[in-house]
Amino acid sequence: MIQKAYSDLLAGVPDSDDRLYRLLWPQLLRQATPFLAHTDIDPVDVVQDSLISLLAYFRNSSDLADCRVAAYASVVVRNRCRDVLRRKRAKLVVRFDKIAGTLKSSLKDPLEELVALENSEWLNEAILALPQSCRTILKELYYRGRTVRELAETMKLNSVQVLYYRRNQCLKKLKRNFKKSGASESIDILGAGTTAHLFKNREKE
Amino acid sequence: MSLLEFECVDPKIGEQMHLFDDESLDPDLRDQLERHLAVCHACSEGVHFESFVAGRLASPRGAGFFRKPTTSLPGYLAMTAVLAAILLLFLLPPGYGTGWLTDDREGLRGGDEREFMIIRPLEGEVLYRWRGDLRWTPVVNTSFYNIHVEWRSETSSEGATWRDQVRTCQVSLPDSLMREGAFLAIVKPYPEGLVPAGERAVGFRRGSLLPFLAYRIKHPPLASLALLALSLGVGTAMFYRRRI
Ligand SMILES: [Zn+2]
Repeated sequence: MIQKAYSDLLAGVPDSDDRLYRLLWPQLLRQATPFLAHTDIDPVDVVQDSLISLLAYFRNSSDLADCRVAAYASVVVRNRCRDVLRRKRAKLVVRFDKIAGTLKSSLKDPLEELVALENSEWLNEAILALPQSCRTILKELYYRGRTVRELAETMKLNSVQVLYYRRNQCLKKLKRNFKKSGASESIDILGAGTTAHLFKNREKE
Repeated sequence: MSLLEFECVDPKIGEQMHLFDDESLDPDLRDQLERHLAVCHACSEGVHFESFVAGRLASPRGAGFFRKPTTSLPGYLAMTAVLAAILLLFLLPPGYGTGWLTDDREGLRGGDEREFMIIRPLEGEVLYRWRGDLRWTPVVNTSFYNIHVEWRSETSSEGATWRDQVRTCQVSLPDSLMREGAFLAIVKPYPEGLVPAGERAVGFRRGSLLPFLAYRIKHPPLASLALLALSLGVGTAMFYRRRI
């Protein structure tokens, strides 16, 4: 039934999104409820938000089998639960008095200021814990502003894809180090949720 | 993996995410990646993290992220205080040890400081590479002081005695006595009767480095203790400032 509703959605059949929404609802609510137990977050809200983004995604995807539609939806809901839990936790651990003296009254949200301040220290620690090769790649690309192509040539790499891959591995290590420093909540505040809003900006440009 | 760690919705696509900003990327794949990012928290976290890192490193202060952080002024103060405390622990005369609390100073100095007492060594002190200097406080109207020193080896039955008469308030023991072992030094002002009880005595040891270090740690000078407490205070304050 899920598959039928999904196929209808792709074919643009009226009300198919509504059917798919109702078919996925109980399963997703079962996923979200234990995740958010003992919190004041309503799983209904989380499931609703997840389904809205999922339906938008499903409308443009054409290669999903029945089981994958359900699996996709489950992962998306679990991730959204994690997202709201992380934000909640981040807000709980924030202590504004730490930066009271450094806050400039007319500037951004104090929470963002605090996060920015702490992130600088954590980023420094995380970068220093990287292997030298990673530090070189990150420094050349981001600090010196060299392009991937230029750097790949300097490093005598066969293709730029190799450098893209290595950069990604270095960023993954950096993220791990960064989170070890205690920054797990901060990443979410800096760039919360998925990147849907990034593309909105891109469209405007 | 932590419970709050995001899962990639479709790892087959997620694995290609590193190509996201490759200008030569196939438009269909780019489209697929963009749609994946819109629904996948795990991958979009990676993209956000990259733009966060890029933003930080591209700033004029970006180079600072690749350098070890310099120690702050309180950090330097705390470190200097610890080093000074350790240095003073060995350079200054030993403190009273538990005598700070029990007011056992008189016993350690072989007498009352208002009348007449031996300044160094202290009662029970362990000395390392001691050059044999014995000092005491002056006694008014004294013609000279009678010095009597007994030495006894702690590893054999050897022993020796040495006597001298001096007009000053200090004396250096002969080289023949500069050996490891237990000492008893008695200083007696002449004429007798100038101070109550007449003479002062201290027992001490000339030993190797380890017993000397152990003694100094048990009997730290007050200045050394104060500096340690200061550095501990600054260190604790810095630690909590960093953690809150
Ligand atoms: Zn993903």
